[in-house]
Amino acid sequence: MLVYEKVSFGSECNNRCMTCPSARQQETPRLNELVAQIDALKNGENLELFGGEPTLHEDLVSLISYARKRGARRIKLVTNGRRLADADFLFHLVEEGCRIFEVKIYGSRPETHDAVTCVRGSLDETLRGLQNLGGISDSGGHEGDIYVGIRFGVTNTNLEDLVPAVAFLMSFSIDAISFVRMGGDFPIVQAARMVANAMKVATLNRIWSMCEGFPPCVMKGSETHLSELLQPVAFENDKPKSCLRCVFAKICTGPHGDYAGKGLRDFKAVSASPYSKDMEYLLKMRSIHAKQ
Amino acid sequence: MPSNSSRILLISFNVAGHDSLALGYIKAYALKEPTVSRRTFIEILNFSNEEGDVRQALYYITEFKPQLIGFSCYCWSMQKILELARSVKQIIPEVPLVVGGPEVGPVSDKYLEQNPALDVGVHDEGEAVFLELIKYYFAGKGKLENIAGISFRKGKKIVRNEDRSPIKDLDEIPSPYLTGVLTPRDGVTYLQSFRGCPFRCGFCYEAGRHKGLRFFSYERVQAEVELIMADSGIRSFHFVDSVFNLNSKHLKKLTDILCTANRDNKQLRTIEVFAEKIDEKTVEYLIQAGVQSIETGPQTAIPETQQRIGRYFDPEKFSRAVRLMGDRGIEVWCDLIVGLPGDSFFRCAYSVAFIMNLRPARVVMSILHVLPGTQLFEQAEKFGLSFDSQPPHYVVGSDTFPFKQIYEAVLFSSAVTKEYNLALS
Repeated sequence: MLVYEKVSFGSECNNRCMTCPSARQQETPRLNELVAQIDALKNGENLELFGGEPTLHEDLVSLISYARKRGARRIKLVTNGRRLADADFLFHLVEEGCRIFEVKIYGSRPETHDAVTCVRGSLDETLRGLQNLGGISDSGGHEGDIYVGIRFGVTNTNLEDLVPAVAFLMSFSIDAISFVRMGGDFPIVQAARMVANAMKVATLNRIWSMCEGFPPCVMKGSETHLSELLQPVAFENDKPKSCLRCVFAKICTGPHGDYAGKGLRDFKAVSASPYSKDMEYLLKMRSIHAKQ
Repeated sequence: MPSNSSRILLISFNVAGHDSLALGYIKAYALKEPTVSRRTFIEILNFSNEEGDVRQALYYITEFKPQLIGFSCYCWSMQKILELARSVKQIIPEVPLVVGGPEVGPVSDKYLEQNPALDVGVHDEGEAVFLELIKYYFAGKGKLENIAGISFRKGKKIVRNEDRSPIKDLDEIPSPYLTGVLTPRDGVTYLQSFRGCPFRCGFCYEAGRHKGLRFFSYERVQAEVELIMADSGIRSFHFVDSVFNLNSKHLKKLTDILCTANRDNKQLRTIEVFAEKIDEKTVEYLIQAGVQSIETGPQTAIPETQQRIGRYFDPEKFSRAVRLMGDRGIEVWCDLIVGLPGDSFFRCAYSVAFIMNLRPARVVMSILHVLPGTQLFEQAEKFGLSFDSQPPHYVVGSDTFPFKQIYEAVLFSSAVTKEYNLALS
């Protein structure tokens, strides 16, 4: 819902995820280049630090401090969480003003998570990071001051682990979970069913959940959780012609490009939806986001 | 406490650390009567609604040995009060238990019918009624049948007396602060310059009450303000007026009073304003008055919903006001309600996006409580509205907003507003 302006830390990472979108090697920016990115932002109010693994950058704390002094009001760190296993390091980040964390996870077990990250022991470190985030949010003068979102990468290897993973993650202090479809090499309809079940478990446990990369036609009954409807994006992917008849035609972005060519027959126009009467406001939401 | 005094206990469960202003008024009004002040000891007990334990209150009651107990009832505290009342009746059945406040007032007969522990329910404003009850119970004056504004238990029957007209001249109610009934404290001192509300919002109990506004005199308000301003321990205080910027004349007068007395830069916090009426001049008044933060609607940004609940909303004027105040350094808190009839999950999400786009200091979400006495309560069927008949009367669904969507909207809005409200200062 909040729109963040992005600050890229390049592609250096301590995981080697098979699904990583930034497989292309980018140089790690120096502090002055990161500062320049911040200076060039339109608003500089909401910052998302991403790319590779920002926590590996030696100037991360200084940059957060700089962003805050420059007027940033919300600083979100997109991270694999491994370095947050170092409680002192995490404390520094929080003290400097980083209060919003999005931690990337691929499973509840090393067999699923580490298999994607290609680093043995990475899940263990990430979970220790999550534990530390919970510890900070429960004490240390920051009660309720930390927001922890989980960015759960959905791949062809962890579909069976989605529900157990959500149940497992409930023991950590998390505020929301996003299920993000990574790659197009698995049937979207089957994955959608698994994601919908996992989101139901989250809802039952009073945790807000969303999913990305799943059009409304494959997520009937879970439309309220579709990230593309709640945080409308400007781009649109290839869609079958039949999609023009869909009640969501004006708002659906279609499947991601990496899937489109493989299974357009998976997508069927939705002829009626209890949400069609809300279309006017979904479009208005898109226009609000577009202006930001 | 003189040993021959009659003992009265007034009890409220509030947000932690807060005193009940309503009970302060009731005590101050009762003590105005010399026969009462000479012979009666009235104590106000404020418990934290979140942490306050019913058995802790029960212990105090058994120690204090009151001869009359009054409870100030709101939707958030009613269950605790009923639990307490049941236990009190087991231990000291002879002590009359009186309930009043917004949760009870419009449905006092029903509360008496369903809760044998309760003896008297007050229909509306409590000051004059409670004084008459004190006289009845302690001086044997009059009959319950003759006290307007109450329902009471007579044998197995519930008798409903006629309603009582509200006190016309509010200055007849002594100030709880000026009389020493309440002690002003930092951050939790509430003043009031008038009672009533010019608006008729369907979800608000204030709208279902008396038409017309009643004012405390400016001299009285000034005396209270001076008292607070002279207290070096107080850094911030509040007004509970339904609309602080009621009209330009009233706002100007309050500003003059506050501005003249405020030699110490005390902050006036979280006052309620009617945003659509705010222009540059109003903002100037608010700043002069020492206003640090304000709270305002719109409750929903959906025009059809606003129309259904009888609320005026002009998106452009509202947006302009939020920006005007924010630009001048006033913290703006915007309120949204989840579950209003006419809304739905995505309409609610749109309201959140609309409000966040205005960049207020804080977005405050709450779930609709369908409160007794409100238009939504009275005309629930018309709105296809279903809700829990027991307090806190959470909405369960409406013709446009089924429960599944309401539940999801609550989770969604809790998460996004938490993220939004983590803004660094």
